[in-house]
Amino acid sequence: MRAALAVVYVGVPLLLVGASIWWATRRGRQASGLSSSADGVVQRARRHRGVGLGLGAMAGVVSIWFTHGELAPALVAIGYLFGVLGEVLAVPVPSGTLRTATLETREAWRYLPRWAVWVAVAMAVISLVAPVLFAALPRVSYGPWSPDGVDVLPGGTLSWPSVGTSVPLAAIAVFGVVAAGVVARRVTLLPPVSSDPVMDEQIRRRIGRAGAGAVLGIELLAVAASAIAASGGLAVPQPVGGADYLASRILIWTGLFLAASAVAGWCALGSRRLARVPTTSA
Amino acid sequence: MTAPVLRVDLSTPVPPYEQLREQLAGLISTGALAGGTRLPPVRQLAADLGLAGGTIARAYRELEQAGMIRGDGRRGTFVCAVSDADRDEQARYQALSRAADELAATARRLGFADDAVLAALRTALARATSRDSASV
Repeated sequence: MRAALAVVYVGVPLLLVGASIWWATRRGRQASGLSSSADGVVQRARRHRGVGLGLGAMAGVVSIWFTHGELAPALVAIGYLFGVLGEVLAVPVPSGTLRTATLETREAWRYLPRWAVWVAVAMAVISLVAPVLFAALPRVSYGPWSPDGVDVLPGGTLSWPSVGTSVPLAAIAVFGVVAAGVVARRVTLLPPVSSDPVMDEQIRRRIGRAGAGAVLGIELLAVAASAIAASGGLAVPQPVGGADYLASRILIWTGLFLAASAVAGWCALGSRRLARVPTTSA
Repeated sequence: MTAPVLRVDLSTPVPPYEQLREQLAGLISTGALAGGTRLPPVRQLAADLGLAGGTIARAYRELEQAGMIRGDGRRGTFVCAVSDADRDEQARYQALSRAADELAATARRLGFADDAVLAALRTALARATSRDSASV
C-alpha cells in the first residue's frame, strides 16, 4: 500500500518534473552559440533542480512511511523549490577589474507569471482557512442503513481532518508563499548571468517561472490534499445518499483535479529552455 | 530606449564609489537620467557590480547630499529634477572636465610628470587672465 502511494504521490511528480528539467536544460543545436556564462546557467539549473527534486522525493517517501502521506507530493515540490533557490544562490559574483551594470530597476513582477502568483496566494489562503473550518464545522452523522435491503448496519458520525493533518498542510502553504518571496527577490538580485542583456532578462524570467511553478505546485497540492482529506468528513454511505455524499465525491474529484493541475502547471512553468539563444536583430 | 550602463574599473586608483558618483552625476546633468527616474536599489547594483553595498550607498549618499537624487524610503531612490540654470552650470562643468581629461591624456602621452602639467596649466591660466585684462 505504501509502495503504491509512493509511486503515485512521489513517483509521478518525480518522473514528470524530472522530464521538464531535462527539457529545460537539454543541449540543442544552438548550444554552440552559448556563452560560457549562459552554459553555466544551464548546468547549475540541471544540477540544483535535479538534486532538489531528488531530495524532495526522498522526503516524500519518508513522509509516506511515517505519516499518512498527504504531505508527500508537496514535499517533492518543496525540494524542487529549494533546488531553484540553490540555483540562484550559486550564480558566481562578478569578478575581473572591469564591471558593468545596467541602470534599470528590476521588479520581481517582471519575472513571475502574475496568474500563477495570484492562484498560489488564493490557494494559500484556502489552506490557511481549512484548519479553522475543520475545527468549527459540525460533524456529519447518519443513521442505520442497509447496503442490500436485508442487513442493517449501524449509523455513525464522521470526522473532519484532524489538526495533525490540516495544520501541516497549512504550514506548507505558508512556507511556499514565503519561499516564493525569497526566490523572487533573489532573481532580481542575481548578478548578470549573461553579457547579452536580452538573454540575461530571459534567463531571469525562466528561473522565476520555474520557481513560480514549484510554488504553484506546493499550494495546489496542499489544497488538493485538504480537499481529499475533507471528503472523509462527508463520506456517508452511498445508500444514505443526499447532499453530503455528493459533496464528498465532488471534494475527491476536485482534489484529484487540483493535484493533476499542480503537477501540470509545475512542469509547464519549469520547462522553458534555458539554453535557447534569443533571436536579436543584428 | 536602452538603460544607461555604469562601468567600474577596479584597476584605476579612483575609488569605485567615486567612479559611480561621477558617472551618475554625468548622466543626471546631461539629462540621460531624467528627473523622477528610479535608480536601482543599492543591493541590486552591488550584486551586478560585485561590490559591497556600502560602496554603492556611499555614491548614492554623496549624490543625495549634492541634491541630485533623493531617497524615498522603501519606494526607492529617485533622480531629482534639474533646473535649466543647474543644467547649464553642470554642462559647463562637464565641458571643462572633458577638456581637463584631454589635457591629462596628452600629458601622459608626451610623458610629462604631474608637476610639469600643473605648471603648464598655471602658465596658461595666467596668460588667459592677462589677455582678459588687456582686452578690458
